[in-house]
Amino acid sequence: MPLDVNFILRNLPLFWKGLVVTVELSLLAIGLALVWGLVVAFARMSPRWPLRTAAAAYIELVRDTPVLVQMYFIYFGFSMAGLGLTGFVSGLLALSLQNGGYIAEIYRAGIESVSVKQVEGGKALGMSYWDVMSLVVLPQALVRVIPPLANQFIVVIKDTSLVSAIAVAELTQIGKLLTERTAASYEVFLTIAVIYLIMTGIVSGLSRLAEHRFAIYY
Amino acid sequence: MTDGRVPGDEAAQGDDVTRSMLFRGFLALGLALLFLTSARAEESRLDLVTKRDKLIVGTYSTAPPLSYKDDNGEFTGFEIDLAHLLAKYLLGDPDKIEFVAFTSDGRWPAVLSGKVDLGLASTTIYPDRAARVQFTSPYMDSGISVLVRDDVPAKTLAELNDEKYTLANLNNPQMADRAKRFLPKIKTLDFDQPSSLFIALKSGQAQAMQIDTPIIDWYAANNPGFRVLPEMLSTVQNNAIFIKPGDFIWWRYLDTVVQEWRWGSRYDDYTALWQKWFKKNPPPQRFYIKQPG
Repeated sequence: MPLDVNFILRNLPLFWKGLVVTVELSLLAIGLALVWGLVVAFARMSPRWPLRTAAAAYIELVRDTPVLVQMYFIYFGFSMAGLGLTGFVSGLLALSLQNGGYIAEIYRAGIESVSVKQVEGGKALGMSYWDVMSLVVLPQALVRVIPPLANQFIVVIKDTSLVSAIAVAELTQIGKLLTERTAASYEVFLTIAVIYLIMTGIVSGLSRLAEHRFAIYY
Repeated sequence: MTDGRVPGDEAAQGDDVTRSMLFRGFLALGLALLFLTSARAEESRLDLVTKRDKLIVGTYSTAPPLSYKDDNGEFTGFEIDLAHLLAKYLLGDPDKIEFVAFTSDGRWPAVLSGKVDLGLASTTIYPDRAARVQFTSPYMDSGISVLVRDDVPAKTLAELNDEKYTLANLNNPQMADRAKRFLPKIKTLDFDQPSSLFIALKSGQAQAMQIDTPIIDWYAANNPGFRVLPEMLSTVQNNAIFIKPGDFIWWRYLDTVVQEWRWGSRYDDYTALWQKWFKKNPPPQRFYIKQPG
């Protein structure tokens, strides 16, 4: 059966509606995960052991369970306990919490990749811990973590498709709805795949640009 | 060439000619085979199924009592039994059959790609769908009912039609259309499988759900704390077998069987299944047939 291009064009406004929700969810989840990840990363590297252990336990908990299960847990489970969150908020929470865990480890890898000698040098010059961090370590660490962060953003964008299971009308759910009405599964899923590819392509491109822009030449 | 041929060796050159003729021969044979197999691809699935001696049916595994898996992981349900009947009529043995479970949006590519011989999965005939898959005549029409939590005071559709309630739908167009028509004020949530509707109801994300009456009755009978509203969202839902379009012989065969179930020589088989799964006779097809019960 030939691909029905007119069908795709006719339904572009519908795809657009879903795309808006997907972009909103992705951006919010990435933003929250970036901030939350930093908090968890510093807790994970804290000299105080209870904080360190709690952070390590948290990271294991969120990254060793599927994000879909976490979404179900937050959406249906919290609701049973009397705290009904909408599908969008439940999905956002699950995505931010899980990716916060992943991103914390990415930050830690970046920070620990900066030589201890530099930290000691900073301290020898009389800089405080936060000065060493903000002036010496983080600027180098953040550049090094750009590629793995971009990787993680791409994961977030693709994982937003999972919230279709908890009644959020994002791109994938709009596609499923359209497939249900018309049985045009090839047209619909091809279009959706291309849209996701464009979104993730933009992230990859931006990450390359950022790498060049912030590259440190020794 | 690794045959040790030396330049100017006549015999070897003759060999080359034979070889190129052989090559052309193989090429022609290959093309002929390709042509033949593509011609074979045009043969009806009816022949394919008979030759394979097994029917492959795409269905749901989570839609009781129509098609679901029992505690032993075996496919069971009204539609599963219909499929067994098809295998019996076609291959002489109800067990010469393989079931493939798919999700609701996975059912179209499953038949269009030829992975399954037919789809039999509480699928409603819908004009937009009929442009891409081919439906037989309906093997059943099912009403749509509404299941509500016991703590919802509404006793009628009119009372349920209120902004403070949320209705769980499957993400398909009939559900959306019906919600708009019968319960225009209610909020809606769209899920992709029947079991999610019920979890939404159970967890309190929704206060009501709509789905095919046999499925609603099954949930209500097996779970305390819920009740079925007496009124139905009374549009007619025709459920039919669907196949890849363009195979008239296969379609004609399946359509004939469905017709024979509903008002012909296999009406007894069909009635027995209605009794087994719904504890009642199918809607009478001929007014002069007296049915018990």
